[in-house]
Amino acid sequence: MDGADDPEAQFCAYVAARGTALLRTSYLLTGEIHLAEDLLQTALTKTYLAWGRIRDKGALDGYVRQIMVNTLTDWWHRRWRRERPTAELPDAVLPDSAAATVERQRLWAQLEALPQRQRAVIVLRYYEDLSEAETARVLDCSVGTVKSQAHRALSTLRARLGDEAASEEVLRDL
Amino acid sequence: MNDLEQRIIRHLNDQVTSIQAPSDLAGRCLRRAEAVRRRRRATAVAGVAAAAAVVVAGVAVLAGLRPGGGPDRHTPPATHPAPTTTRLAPPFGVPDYPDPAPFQPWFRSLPQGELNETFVGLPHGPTFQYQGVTYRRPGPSGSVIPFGVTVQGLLAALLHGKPGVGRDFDTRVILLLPDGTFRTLATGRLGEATGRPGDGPHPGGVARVSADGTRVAYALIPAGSTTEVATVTAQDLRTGQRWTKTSGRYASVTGWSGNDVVVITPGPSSQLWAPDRGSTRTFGRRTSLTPAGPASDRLLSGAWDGYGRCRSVISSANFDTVYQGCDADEPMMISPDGRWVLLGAWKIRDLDTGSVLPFSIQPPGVGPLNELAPGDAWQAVRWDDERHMLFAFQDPLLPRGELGLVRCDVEGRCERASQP
Repeated sequence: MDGADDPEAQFCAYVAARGTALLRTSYLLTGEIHLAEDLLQTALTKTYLAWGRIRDKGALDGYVRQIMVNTLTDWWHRRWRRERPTAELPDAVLPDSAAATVERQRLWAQLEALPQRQRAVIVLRYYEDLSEAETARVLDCSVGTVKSQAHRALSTLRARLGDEAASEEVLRDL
Repeated sequence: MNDLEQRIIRHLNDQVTSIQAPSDLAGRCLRRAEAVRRRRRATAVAGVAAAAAVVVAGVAVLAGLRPGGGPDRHTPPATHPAPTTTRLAPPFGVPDYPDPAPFQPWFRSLPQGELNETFVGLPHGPTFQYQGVTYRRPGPSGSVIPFGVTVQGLLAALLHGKPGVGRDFDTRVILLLPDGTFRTLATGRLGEATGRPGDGPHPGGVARVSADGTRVAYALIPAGSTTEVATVTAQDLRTGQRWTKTSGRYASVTGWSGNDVVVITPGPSSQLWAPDRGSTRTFGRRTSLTPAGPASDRLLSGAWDGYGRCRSVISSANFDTVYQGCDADEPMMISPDGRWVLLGAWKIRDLDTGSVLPFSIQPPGVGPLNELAPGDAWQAVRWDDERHMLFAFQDPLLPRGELGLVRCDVEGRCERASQP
């Protein structure tokens, strides 16, 4: 069989080309590298199982992103059903002598503390550089919802990082 | 785009610059996909067998409908599919559950709803999967409320039935039995703080089965009461013996600690009630307490303490805090003998020595567990004996209802407990 027509070869080529980029998105969605690898592996496996039904192979990134978001949402729902408490970040910051690193951890911690949906909007809009409409498609919601979620997330970040002036000072070193 | 947005973009990019996909990522996915296909094929074969069983069951139902031969009161009505009970091979053969009392089709009195979904249960007593029951609230966006899926609620469930007059709800405590049938244990009502008319059934929460599966406790306000003071009842499921105690307004039962019932009230305290001895001890701090095993003298506390959300292990004897964990290290479940506690960070803590053992059933993709979902995706967990835990997984790659059971000892040695 010609490799170009072999689904397995096509899939391997796709993963080789896009695996790192997708893992980075997964990491930003989950905030934890092992969980990110699990999430991506799950999403790619589902993608491969549906390979024959995916007609537009040029849209694979969007397909995988959508599976990642949906799967992560599902994991969060299961976490809730198990009655595990929702995470409330302790105030403690990991000790680090480098001020810039501490502040970077601070912003990262605040991003992690966002509700999962808002965090996904931030990652898709500002890391993946998707439009509002594209983000809405991935999240299976309206453009208005994307706008409101992004607005809330940014407002939350702004508020948590202190007032505007303090926030500017904090972020300037990043 | 404002400064904050631009800095977020830079920050996100900075965070991921060093991340590279593993070189064998595609291979792992392909192996996992192959495993999924194998299991789907196996499930399809099992489905044919199940369909045959349904035909047989249908014949039996039709036979039951013949003139003069209607379904007896021990038979679930046709609106509730017959349960699929999977008995697992040893070592899960703990003593059988007590024989169910006559079946009472209590849910016929419900307002419209659906009763037809399957859940995974890991109750104490024989391990089984059961054909659970859900109730869908009326209306186009009615949420589905499952019974019996919480691990600590186990078999007990509480039902808010049809609305009565004012706050006088028709409330029933039911017991979901291993064969999928139900028993009504008590009727009464709850205070207005716990539901609204027409809310439908509520799972777990107020009625709890002891860890050894022999007793149940619940709190209800007796019908006709005007004081909202609840009566707490403990009942031996083998002998039918009951103990009752009048508790505070809106009191509820959150679990068992050995033979003691854990009762909370909206007041400033939690209580440990020993029905056998008729004594009650009070925990001075407002907290929610969850049960430990039958021989344990320890309780899990869900108190907020300091920063963030923390949970403690406290001694049932004197309510001293034995261990406190916050965030990922918070305690999740205590072993039946009270020695070990499973922590949220996938560690096991030995409460006798204070030592912590790393515990992992990860990574997926390795060894006999390679078809399982990530460790965080387990559906249910319970202690199987003093040194072993049983995890139920529902692989996100597979259609709903397929699961894998893994049995692990406290040192992290795991084995498959059954094949889906």
